[in-house]
Amino acid sequence: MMKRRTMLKSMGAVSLGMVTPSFAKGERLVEPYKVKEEIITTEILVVGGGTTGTIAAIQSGRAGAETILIESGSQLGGTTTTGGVSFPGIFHAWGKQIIGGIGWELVMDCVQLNGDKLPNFSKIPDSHWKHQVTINAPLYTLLAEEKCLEAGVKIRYYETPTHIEFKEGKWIVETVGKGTKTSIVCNQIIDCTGNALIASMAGYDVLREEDTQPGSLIFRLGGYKYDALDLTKIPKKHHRILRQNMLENSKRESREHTYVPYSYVYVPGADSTTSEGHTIANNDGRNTLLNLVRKLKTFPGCENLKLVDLKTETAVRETYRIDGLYKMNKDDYTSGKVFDDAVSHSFYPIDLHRDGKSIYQEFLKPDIVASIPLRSLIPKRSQNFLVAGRCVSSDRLANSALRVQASCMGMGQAAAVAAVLASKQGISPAEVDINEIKDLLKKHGAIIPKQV
Amino acid sequence: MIKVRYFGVVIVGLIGLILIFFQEKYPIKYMQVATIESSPAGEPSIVVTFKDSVTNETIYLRKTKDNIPLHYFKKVIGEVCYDDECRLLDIVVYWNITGRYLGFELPKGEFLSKYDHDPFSENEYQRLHTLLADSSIPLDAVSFEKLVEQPKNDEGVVDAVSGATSKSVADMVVKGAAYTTYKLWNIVNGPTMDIVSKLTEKHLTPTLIYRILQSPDISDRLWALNRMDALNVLTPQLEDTLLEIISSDDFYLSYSAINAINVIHLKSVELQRGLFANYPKANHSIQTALLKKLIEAPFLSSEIIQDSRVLLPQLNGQQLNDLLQLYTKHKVHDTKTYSEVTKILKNENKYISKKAYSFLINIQTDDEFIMERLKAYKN
Repeated sequence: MMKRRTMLKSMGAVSLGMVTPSFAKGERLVEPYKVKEEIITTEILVVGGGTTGTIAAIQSGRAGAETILIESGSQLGGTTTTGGVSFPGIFHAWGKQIIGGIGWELVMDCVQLNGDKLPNFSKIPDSHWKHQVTINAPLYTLLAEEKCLEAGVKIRYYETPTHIEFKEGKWIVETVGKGTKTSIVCNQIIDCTGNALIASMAGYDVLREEDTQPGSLIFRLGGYKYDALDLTKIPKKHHRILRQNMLENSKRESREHTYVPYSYVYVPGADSTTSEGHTIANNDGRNTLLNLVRKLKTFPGCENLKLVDLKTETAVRETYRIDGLYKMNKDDYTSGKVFDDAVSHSFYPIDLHRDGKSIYQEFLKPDIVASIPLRSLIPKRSQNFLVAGRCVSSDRLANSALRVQASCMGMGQAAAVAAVLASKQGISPAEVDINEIKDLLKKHGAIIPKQV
Repeated sequence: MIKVRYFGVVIVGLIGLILIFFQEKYPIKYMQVATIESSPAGEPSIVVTFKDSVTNETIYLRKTKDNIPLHYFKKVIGEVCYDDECRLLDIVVYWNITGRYLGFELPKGEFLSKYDHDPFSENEYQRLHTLLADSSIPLDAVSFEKLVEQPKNDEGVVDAVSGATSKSVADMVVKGAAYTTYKLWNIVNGPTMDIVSKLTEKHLTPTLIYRILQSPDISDRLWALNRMDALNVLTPQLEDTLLEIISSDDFYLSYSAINAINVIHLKSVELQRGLFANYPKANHSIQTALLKKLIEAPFLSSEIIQDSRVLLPQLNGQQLNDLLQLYTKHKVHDTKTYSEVTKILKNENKYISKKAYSFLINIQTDDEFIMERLKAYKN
């Protein structure tokens, strides 16, 4: 008879041999962590995969240029997705479509795949935001990435530039990422950081206001009924947050007013240019929100208030702008001036969030739609370099309208076309025949402002 | 001086008397543009009645003797009270056959008044009429009590990030007649609106849809487009109207018209051809919508295959992708089309040539030319 100890020992051996699957046997020592260093080349480098850079990269790839897109975060879309402003606009004005192209294609694909409905663009709204299109942000992220990859764009997430140099007609951009240190040699750069970061690194002039508009951390509350609250017992300053903003629901049926509620807290001085700055903006926003939630829960009817959703990071409105070949001013914007080198439209009220408490707004008069000249996307004294997005060369008031998503998408597409043509011709974007740029943009579905 | 003053008083009095006379003789009536203009004067119309399933009140439908519905109306009698004082509200509310507000009419001698019992002025009637016509005002979202409690806009609560701003009471009502406005707005824009729209839906014919599509009001045309599904066949007249709308530069109307077409309608070769005829000059987003619609067709007209083939060399990558998807769905496999697509393999733009490659690699062919080109492309 087998002794108990021997039996247990043999059982252990059997179970180890029979039950342990083969994949558990592959343990090995790995090489110590090493940063991978390499030099890679491309025709076009797009820096920043946000609202603007995503469109610029897709356009560049579709126009047949080798394209690399570097993005410091983990997904595309920026303010539209990570920042939670998932209601891009404005693509239509006064009954007509004014911004089309790749940005609109992405929005439409998102609306259709999610089974949503478009707002009625034929009806001129009493408030501009009614023509913003509510989209499913996670779906937008997936579609944006798919379109980039399909266009042959090489996406490099978690990567950021550290140094830039122009040498023998090429840009050499050094970047660091998780375990990577890369030199990207390219013909043309499109700075879509929103913060004119690369323009500044390249030594071009960038400007910043003494006081910048606050950022916004977007969230959603639940667990209470606004209509049932006794507002006389709640300080007025909290009413807006409790009421929450209402995005017109894309699934609105019949006469019902159905809305997607959301809210935001202001984050004064929010700046996403550096990790430190963006961390502070996130810390500040989250801290403000946490204290707000604690405070709101003390009010009658809000005892069960819940934080239902919180966006990943603080979305930023205003940081740096380039000093471009042309600086758009507020009069250019509000008069709807159509420049000879206009490459895209823009439509939004002048919309300056001043001190975190009030907003200066000026609406465009009927039939007025602003246009954006290519020169505003080119820094003075620059070579083989463009910007697109909110760092467009403009005064503060014009910028407060230009910064919105549809306008940024239009700029991204235009900058990419200019960069691709410049790359093919071995010149700087400012030297490319503007009609060639307009023709190629039209070919890719963009809407070019027309002189009346 | 006294004479002048006396004269002034007399003039004002006379004007007042004239107004009262007209009010007695002609009822107060405000009407918007109608979906279908009433039949010519003198032509008899028929009135039929329905029960409002929500309020159990009677809804009247006026139609021509040819059975073309013109509008619905309802008599509203109730009380408007303020500070425990009440006044009778006696009014007839009209809706277009699409449910869109048409107007209101007061019986002879009746008038609307404000909380101080002052009668409405002409401007106030006009403002009420404008407010009632705006179904986007959120007066159905709040109780009257909440409405009058609302903070005003000037308290710095406006938002412009996406900007859904709560309208102030002043923006939504006639001054001094908040409850009258609130009550009437909720009648006009309440359940009856959908009830009458559904009543019309039940009697839709190609002729009626055609008539509604001629309405000067865009929301009426959208109403008709959204209900085209109910028709199994489109008359040539309707097809022409649809194609005309699709060719307009109003994106939303054009897009809605494309989406109004269903699979059964696409059996019509003429409609297919008309749709594709819009393709070359359409906005890119409309082009995509047109091809997606043709993908739904039970078959693809041979003329479209021929006409689209000519366009192949000039398309951008995205347009090419849409067209090749159309060919794939309809199993287009004629040698001429294959040959044209094969030529695209030589396009310098890799994004474009790759689309052609992906299409050709999935077709069943032993054509030597195509095989050779595919091999060359891969290498």
